[in-house]
Amino acid sequence: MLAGTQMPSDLERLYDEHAAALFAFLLNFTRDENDTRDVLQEIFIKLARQPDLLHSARDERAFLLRLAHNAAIDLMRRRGARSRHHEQFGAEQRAAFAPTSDPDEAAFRTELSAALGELPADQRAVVHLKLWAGLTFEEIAATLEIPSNTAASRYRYGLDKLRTRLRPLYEEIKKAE
Amino acid sequence: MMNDEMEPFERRLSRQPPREIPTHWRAEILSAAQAAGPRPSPSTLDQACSQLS
Repeated sequence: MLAGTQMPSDLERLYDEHAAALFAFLLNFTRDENDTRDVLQEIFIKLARQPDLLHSARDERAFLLRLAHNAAIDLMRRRGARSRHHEQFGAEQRAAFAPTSDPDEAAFRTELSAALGELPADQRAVVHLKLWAGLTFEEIAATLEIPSNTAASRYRYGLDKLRTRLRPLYEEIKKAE
Repeated sequence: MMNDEMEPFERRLSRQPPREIPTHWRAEILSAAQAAGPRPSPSTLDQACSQLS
């Protein structure tokens, strides 16, 4: 085998270890399952074509999340150039969370999904990486190539909006618990 | 401002499980990626051409 050639098993491993997290991030960021699939496939095609791409990455997950974010931004720009739907990127109320049989949880997840869709994309990206990818502000800053303070402030702005939007439902559920 | 600790509201949000990736995507995406494959480098192409000539 040639040096640097990516074995299919490497792609399989990368998929098994990271695709779920990339899917969750992209679905929350783009709010569109077709776009999510397109971007995810684009990433794996890039990995197959450029086997050395990950060699210099200290953290595979963070590197792949950065690729996903950049590819989604490119998609957003292409959309923006083609139509006026740029601002609608994210506004679609796609279910970003797993279904549940608990009606209170289901209502909360539906509202949370909608509230996330109302955030500006840059805040939504930071909120997702902090809450559902479990990254620190330093890691988010490195992933999104922004200063740490910017990551922290985007998170606070986004979280404040979610808190305001979800407060009535959150308080109601808390009382019932 | 840079505190990474979570308050109860944040913990409540973070406990909501994201939707799972559709299982059939794995075969489709890996198949597309493997079909795209590594592009032969110019030097590899040169070698192949010189072997053919």
